[in-house]
Order: sequence, then structure tokens, then C-alpha cells
Amino acid sequence: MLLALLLSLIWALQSVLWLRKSESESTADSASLSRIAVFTGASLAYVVTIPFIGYFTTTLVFIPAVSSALGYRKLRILLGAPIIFVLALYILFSLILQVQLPDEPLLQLIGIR
Amino acid sequence: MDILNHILSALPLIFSIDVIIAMIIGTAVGITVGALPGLSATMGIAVLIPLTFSMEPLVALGMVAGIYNGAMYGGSIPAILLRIPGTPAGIATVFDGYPMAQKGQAPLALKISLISSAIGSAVSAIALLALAPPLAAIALKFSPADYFWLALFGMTTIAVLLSSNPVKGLLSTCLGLVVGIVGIDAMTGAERFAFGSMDLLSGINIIVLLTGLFAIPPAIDLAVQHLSQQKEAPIENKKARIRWRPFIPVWIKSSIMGVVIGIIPALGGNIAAVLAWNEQRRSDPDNDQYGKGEPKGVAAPECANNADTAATLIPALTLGIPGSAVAAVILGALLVHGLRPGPQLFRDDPEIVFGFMLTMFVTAILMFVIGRVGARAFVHVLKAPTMLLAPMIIALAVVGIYSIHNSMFEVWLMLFFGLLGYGMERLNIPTAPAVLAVILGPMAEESLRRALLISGGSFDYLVQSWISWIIIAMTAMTLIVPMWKRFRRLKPSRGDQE
Repeated sequence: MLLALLLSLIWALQSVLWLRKSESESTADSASLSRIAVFTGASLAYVVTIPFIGYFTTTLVFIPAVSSALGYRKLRILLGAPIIFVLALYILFSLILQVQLPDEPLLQLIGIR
Repeated sequence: MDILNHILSALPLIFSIDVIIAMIIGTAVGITVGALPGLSATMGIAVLIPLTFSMEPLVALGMVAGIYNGAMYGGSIPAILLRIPGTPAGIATVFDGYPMAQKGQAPLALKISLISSAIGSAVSAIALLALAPPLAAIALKFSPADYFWLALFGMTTIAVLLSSNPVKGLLSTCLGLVVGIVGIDAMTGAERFAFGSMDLLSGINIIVLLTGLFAIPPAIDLAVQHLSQQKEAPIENKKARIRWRPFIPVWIKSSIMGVVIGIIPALGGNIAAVLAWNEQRRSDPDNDQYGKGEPKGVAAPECANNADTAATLIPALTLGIPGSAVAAVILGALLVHGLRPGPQLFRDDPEIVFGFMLTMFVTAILMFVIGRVGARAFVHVLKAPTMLLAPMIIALAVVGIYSIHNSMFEVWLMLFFGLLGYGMERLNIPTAPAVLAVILGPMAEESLRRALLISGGSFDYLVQSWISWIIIAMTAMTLIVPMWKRFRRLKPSRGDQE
């Protein structure tokens, strides 16, 4: 099975050459590139913070933050939809499936959970 | 009949209340996911598998069947109303569906599409029930050597046929092979590619990879997508009457085409749909209406792409060789529940395999009912803001993966694969071969080593049975044919500029 690694290295090299030959023009414009950056950056930050302040708290902030950063403007849906979504997740994961998710210090502060 | 007995014993299991609810939810989710442009059945199932982790196998599989069938129909809703296929398989529905909608016949087009889809799915499920058990019986006679070649065949066909460039496909396969050997070697107990990390010792969970590769890239796409509000075709509530009898030959022909194409690895619903549409246009005597809103031009591709669904599962369930990304994800779902796809599955867990095949059939009928009842709701799905959906998918994927082993490490791994997958997609490297290699690589390795154990280390054993030779010949053909084609294409075009 070391052979597979060797082969994939060869192919990697081959395809680098291939790509260099065929893909001369860049396909992404700067607008969509910044959107990718915003979205992936936010997602990474999201996962980093989960162990500290808990899954539900982070999700409650993450969804409206990202949506508004991407340009969504309807305020009622922006704030309402994540609450419903998180509630549904809470019912499914904590009540029905009994998954042990990281602690929620902020929600505990307000007295939920 | 053995098969009938198995079916009869699986029937009561399916009609338990849990499974029925799961199938209904699955079908509704499937239609919704299919209707959203950019989201496909693959993504829907990939996100939902972790959620089904703690359920009974049949409940989970019923949901999977519902999503799979539902998404195939769902793809036709935006194809007809917006001229955007919701899933790749909806491409051919656009040809006649959108012109029909422009003529104000959108409800009729949706109805034809729904009925055709349901019929296609039902035929396909029957084909699965009829063909899979005998095939599994044959496959049980395969020796480890044959299995080794079969796994190799599966990997090469997907790699070569799924991408325009075989090198990229094979590269993706190799990535999968490397991912597949991470962890403890089952036979000797040696650590491979674990880098001293405790988390990698048990190998990379297939679900982590599946969710990463199939759920994250569509989410990024959704976030990036500029909202190009296309003009929606008017939906008038005109009661349209139509005679169904002329459709019967269309359905028969298209479902057969869909089933046959579905069985062949790497040819998916989109190819089935386009071929069925072409065939329908070719064979109809007054064919100048096709492309301008001919109802039969909606029926043919929709029937064919749904007839493809269960048929794709025939090689997946009987041989353990998934022929497409969706089939790979479904195999992943089976693996999560400790079911090893392959002929042994039919011998060891007949209730579950037959139950799963029956749910494919039942969800076809459910799809019709849910599609009729919820027609209005599913049309509104198209207005869902993608910018809100994208982070929700991430959130769902994260909590799903976390809940499998309560491990943050796997969440990171999933995100890593997601970014990797997005990068691969941007470079036009297909991700499906990698997933297949993760499933088939260990299978190839295991059978190769078993074969060598049997033969006492002699490689002659690998080429001794005629089944091996047939599979080797088929593998060689899939490798040589595209090369030969390219060679022939290159020759005459040498002079002109590329």
C-alpha cells in the first residue's frame, strides 16, 4: 500500500504540470473571492469558539452574522430564523438524541439550561 | 421463492410507525433539497447521515431512500419554473419544462414531472428487488482474488468516466486510497499514517469525509452565489386536463433506459435524462414541438432520471461497488450502521437489505402523495434566501459530526476535507472517486491479502479464475478506450489551434 502513496505523488506531479499547461486564466473575480474568504473565515472562527461558549450560543450568533455579512438585509427573518433553527436543533440533539454538547456558559448565565 | 420470502418478512418491518415517519420526512426533505439549486441528494444525505447515527438501521435507511427519490423529483421544480435545474439530473427537464411554464402550463408540467418521477422510481425499485438478489447470489461465489480485481475495476471506472480528464480522476482516487489506509492495520496491528495522533489511530471515519466533501462545498457555493433573481414563470391555477394514455409508451421506454444506465457505474441520472429526452424526440413522428414545450419532453427525462435511482444501487448493494457519488454516500450510511455492503449483506441481514429496497419502492409512492399535497409549499422553497441557508448547512454539519463521537477533532477534519473538496471542485477534480477509493481501497487491500494468504504468497492465484480475467479485461477497457479516443481526436486536430 506504500505503492499507492508513491503513485499519488507521481500523479500529483503530473497533474501540476498539466494544470500549469491548461489553466492559464484565473476564473474567480474578486467579489466572489472575498465572499469565499468571509464565509470560510467565519466558519473556521465558528468552530474555534464552540468549545468555549457552546454550540447553541455560537450558532445563534454565527448564522445572522454570516448572512448579514453576505448581504442579507431582511431583519425579521435574519433574527427570527436562527432562533427557530437553534430551537429545533436543541430539541433534536439535546432532548431526543441526548448528545452531550459543549457547555453553554452564556446561556446558563441567563438561566436557560 | 427465496426472494419472495425475504420480501414478505421485511414488509412488516417497514410499516412500523418509525420507518413510515422517517420515510415521510425523508421524502419531504429530499424534494426540498432537490428544489434548491446547488443542493443535491448527495449533499442532503451526507448532512443527514450523522443525524441518523443513533437510529435503527431501517429508520435511517428509509429516510435516505426518501431523500434520494425526493431530490430527483425536486430538481425538476426549479428546472420548470426558473430554467435552473435544481440537481444535475434536472438538465433535460429544462428543455421542455421551462417553455411549458412560459406558456402558462407550469402546474401541468409539474404534475407530469411528478407522475413520471414516481413511475420511474417505482420501476427502478422493482428492478432493484428483482435483479439484486440473484446478482448477490452469483457474487457470493467470487473468490478474494476476484474481489480484488472488482474493487480495482470500480475505482478505475469512476476515476476515468466521471471526469473529463482521467488524470484528475485517478489523482482523486489516490487521495482516497491514502485516506483509506490511515489508522491501524486490521491484519498486523501496525499504525499507518497516524502521525502519533490518538485521533487518527482508529482511521478516518467515512462519514467525516463524506460530509466534508459533499456538504461543505455546496454550502460555500451557496454563500458565494450572486442572487440572480430570475423571472419566475407565472403559476396560474388553471385546471388543465390531459390524456395520460399517450404517455404510457414514453414511461415504459424511459424507465427501461434509466434502469439500464443506472446499473452502469459512473453514468448518472443526468445522462439517463438527456438520453431519454433525445430518444423520445427522435422516435416521436411529429417532433418539431420538442424544446418548445412538449409535455412528453418533460415526462421522458423525469421518468428516466428517477428510474436511475434504485438501479444505481444494484452494483452498490450486491458487489459493494458504488457507481456514483450518491451511491457512495448511501454505502457510507450502511457502513455507519455496521452493515458491510456486498453479497454477504444479503445472506447476513436480509431483513435490512430487503427492507431498504422496499423503502425505495414505498417512497416512490409517498413522493407522489407528498408532491401533490405540498406542491405549493415546494414552489415557495425556491424563494429561500441562500445566504441564510449556507451557514445553517455548516451548523448542521458541525453538530452532526460532533455528535458521532463527541469529538472536536473530527469536526476540524470535516472542515479540512470540506475546504479540500471545494478546492478540488474549483480545479475540476471530481471528489467522488476519492470517496469511492476510501470505501474500495480497504476492500481491495483486504481481499488481496486474503488471496495471498490462501495461495501462500504466490501472485499466480490472482489470475487463476475466469471471473478475474473478465474483470481485468473490463478494467483494461475502461482505461484504454478514453486514451484511444483522445489519441484519435488529437490526430486530426493537430493543425488547428486549441
